[in-house]
Amino acid sequence: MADTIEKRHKQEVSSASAEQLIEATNAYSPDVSIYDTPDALLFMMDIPGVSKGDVSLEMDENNVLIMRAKSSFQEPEGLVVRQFNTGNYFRAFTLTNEFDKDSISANLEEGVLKLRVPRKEEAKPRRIQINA
Amino acid sequence: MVWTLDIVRELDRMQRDLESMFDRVGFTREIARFPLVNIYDNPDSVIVVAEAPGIKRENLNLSLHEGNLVITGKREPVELGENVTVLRSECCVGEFEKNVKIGIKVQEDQINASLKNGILTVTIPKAEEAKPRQIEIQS
Repeated sequence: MADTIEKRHKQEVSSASAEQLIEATNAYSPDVSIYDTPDALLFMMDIPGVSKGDVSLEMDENNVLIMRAKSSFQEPEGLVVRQFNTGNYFRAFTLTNEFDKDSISANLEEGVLKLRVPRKEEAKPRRIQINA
Repeated sequence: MVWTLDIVRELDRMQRDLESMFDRVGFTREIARFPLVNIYDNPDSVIVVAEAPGIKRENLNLSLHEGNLVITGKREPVELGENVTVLRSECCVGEFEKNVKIGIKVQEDQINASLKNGILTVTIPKAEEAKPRQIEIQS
């Protein structure tokens, strides 16, 4: 556990700070899991109710990756118990310079948005041979 | 907390964070708290809607047992290769069982379920005797 917390502090690749600055009225913040691989960052966002084509992604000049998704779920009448809210989703992430904003790929399946944000070539880890 | 309107979801996330902390130190058994469900009551039917992102149709089971709608299944974790660091993990994975008490007579053979965009909708038609009845007032 201590290990993961330490890593979180060390890698300033992503932070939720942008969410506090950018106003996201009438949208919900989806659950996200973020994985760091040598080649890219992988984001998995739970956005149930969103159809393909209703997701917009943008990365601005300050390296803020913004995800907006429009839900097409029609809520039935007669609500008696509510455990979750339905509606649109918004979430933003601040990234560092090492990512290639032009080759982000995304895929939406079963209500899960998978994002791949690749590192720039020069930012990838390189193995260095030690000569004897 | 200021940036979200979604207090219910945020509280649920905090609860799950706390539970996973206890799980890590071995206090509690792993009990899945998902999927979250909404219940709707209409004159003709009861509709149960569950958030089920990332859950495949073949990994989802529905049954009606003693007046309870039982939703069981599992969400498979992401397959990670080597050299992967988990930076953030909010999405629920693992096995789950959710019981929803229906409590009225229903037409068991007419239950209809659909899974679309990660949302499970179960429509349970009420039996005739469970439907609301208009009562005439005699003058």
